[in-house]
Amino acid sequence: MLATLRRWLWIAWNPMRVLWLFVIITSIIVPWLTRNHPVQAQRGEWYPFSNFPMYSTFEPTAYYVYVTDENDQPIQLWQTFGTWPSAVKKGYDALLKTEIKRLKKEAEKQGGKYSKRIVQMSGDECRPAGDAILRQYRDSSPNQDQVKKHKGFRLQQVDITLEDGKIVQKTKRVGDI
Amino acid sequence: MDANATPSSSRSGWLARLRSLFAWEPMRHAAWEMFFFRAGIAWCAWPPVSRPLTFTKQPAPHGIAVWFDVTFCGNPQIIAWLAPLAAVCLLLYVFNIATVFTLVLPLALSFAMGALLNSQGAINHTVQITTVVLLSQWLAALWCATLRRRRPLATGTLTNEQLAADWARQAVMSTYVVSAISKLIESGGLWFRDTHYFGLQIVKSSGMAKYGDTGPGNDVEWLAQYIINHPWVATILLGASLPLELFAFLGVLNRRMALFFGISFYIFHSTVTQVMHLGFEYHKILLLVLFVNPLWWIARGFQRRTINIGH
Repeated sequence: MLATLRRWLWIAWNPMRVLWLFVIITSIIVPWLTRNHPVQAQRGEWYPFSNFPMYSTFEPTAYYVYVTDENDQPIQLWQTFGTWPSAVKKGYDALLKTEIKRLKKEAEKQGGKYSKRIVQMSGDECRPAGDAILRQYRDSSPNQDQVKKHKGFRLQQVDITLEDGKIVQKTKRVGDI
Repeated sequence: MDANATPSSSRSGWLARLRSLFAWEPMRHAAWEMFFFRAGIAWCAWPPVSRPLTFTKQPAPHGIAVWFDVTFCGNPQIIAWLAPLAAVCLLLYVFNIATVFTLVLPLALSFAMGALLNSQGAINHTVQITTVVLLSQWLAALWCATLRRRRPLATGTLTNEQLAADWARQAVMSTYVVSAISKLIESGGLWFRDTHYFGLQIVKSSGMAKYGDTGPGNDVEWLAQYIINHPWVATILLGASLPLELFAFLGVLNRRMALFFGISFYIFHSTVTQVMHLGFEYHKILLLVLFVNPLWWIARGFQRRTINIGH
């Protein structure tokens, strides 16, 4: 029995030392070193090492965002900002979480408690994050000629929730520059 | 069935088959196989370093961007010089020429490109696997050129090229194991419990594809509602992926396991592409080349057929 166990342990370690080294770096060392990173999404990440937190938990709510012009018409994101919808969403999400922290601190100072989910937040509460991400991509866009074609940009957030077992989507404006 | 078979002999036969399935059989590839492996790795490594990124600032420095300014990766003039050099280096790597030196530039460029991409305030994992595999190749070359060189190789030990292929496979499979560990830790071991909410993630991905520049994507919102209505479907479908990822390390044991995990992950990524509109192109190519290795299985089939005809 002991011999079999030793044999299996040897097989699990010896031919896979590099694999376990990568596992230790990505699931222990990098998360520990980045544990205090101010941006939550950056914790556990140090390119090219990642602990792949995507879909590690499933929430009863979700949301996505898209960018429109001043007339609420969706714009071609790659051509205008040189980026993808997922990058805008992730960047916005990081800024929104910082904003939520600020709102929580503010509520605590006034003796209250702020405990809204992202999908429950009003468009105005999300505005600082929405405006900031729009400004970031507008100002850093490599396609300034495309940017100048539009008078303004808006960030629309689509909240996805469940109501009586049915998937419901509601759109709110969370950025306007 | 063999008339002489006894329960104990069939049990020992079953055990032998199981043992053989999990046996460690170092993969001693032929030279032509390793050429294709390196060509596959170079094929994946090339696109991310071949053109400048659209970003010229690093507003949220990530990875090596914390210490170095990597905005040169967004400068078309600089990349116009570096990309052809990287192409030559990758070509030399494909022919296994001075790998420890020739991989330095493509690897450094891959690190810098990835760091700049992830320094925009959002983390992107699209090209991460190519850098990890390049890193494993360079580390294997460094290991063989330094420490491994000092001691004589025992009979039957993998050659330097075979070792590099083995390390590439280990690097790829480590990413799946880590992903499974994260799922278990982040969900407190209850990952299966909430899998039916995956339906909402489908709607999210579908929505982002709709407003992306790649077109509306597949209409899979019906699937999202179906999953919400039938939670067990998500539990079974997603449930299968967790043990697959957790035990991905077995994929480096022998060719049979490599084939099994290679095909399984290929199907897994292809399904995700259809449902979630996520590409996974580099993962698929690397799985096909390093794990499924169809050319070797075809060659083996022909070899067996020839032997049978000879008899």
